[in-house]
Amino acid sequence: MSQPTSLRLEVNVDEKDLRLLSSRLWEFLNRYTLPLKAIYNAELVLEEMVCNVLRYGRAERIVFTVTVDSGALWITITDNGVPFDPTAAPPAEIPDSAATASIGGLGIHMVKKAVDKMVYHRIGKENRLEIWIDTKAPSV
Amino acid sequence: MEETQIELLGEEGELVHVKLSGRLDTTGTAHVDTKFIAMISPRGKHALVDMSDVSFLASMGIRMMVSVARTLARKQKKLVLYGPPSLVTDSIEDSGLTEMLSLVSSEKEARAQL
Repeated sequence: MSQPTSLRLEVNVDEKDLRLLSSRLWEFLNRYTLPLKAIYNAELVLEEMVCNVLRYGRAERIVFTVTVDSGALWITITDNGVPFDPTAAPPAEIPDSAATASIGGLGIHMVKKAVDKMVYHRIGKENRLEIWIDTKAPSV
Repeated sequence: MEETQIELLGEEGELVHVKLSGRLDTTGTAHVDTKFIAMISPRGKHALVDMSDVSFLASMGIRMMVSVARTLARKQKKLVLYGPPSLVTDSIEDSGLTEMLSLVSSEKEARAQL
């Protein structure tokens, strides 16, 4: 019997659940021969993007799905919260010095740097974010 | 998953030395941020932070460190992180904050920054 290639996680509206979901994601992805960096970045996507929805999205339902595809991880995050397109979010405010540091949008900024492609759609009353992480890179 | 922990390794002259370990995700950062700030900020000394056992670093963890770095900078003191694994280093580099957070490979290099 072949292993499932997708993992679907339904997120309760509590940030404390993120740790458990990260654990499930890590266990799932470790069944495959994937670069550690790709697994790490998938966890980062879960942590940062789902956290954003929990904090600001006013969503009642969030679903995170990851599929192990040939050469890439394909992640989709759907939620029924307020419309928000992270691909259009302004760049993070990276301060010049610690003395005056005030950072906005850091999580989205880090995810954009860590993934290979990000596409957003608003479909009806849902936000749908699709992310691809290349897995062809050599293992760390 | 491993528990997020913080340990005071020592205090010497104008320097305080702490160690962070585990995951600095939202949950982990919330577990240690009060202690991290309390160990460093009130002392008004330079701070060395051993990151060698940090396995994951998200934006909340970085914000915690920037907050302390900001407080120290206003007192002309530095926060220096050292020894993180390569994936954690990548997170810090992706944040664009490597100069502000003074990231180096070893404790020796960290002390040389001060």
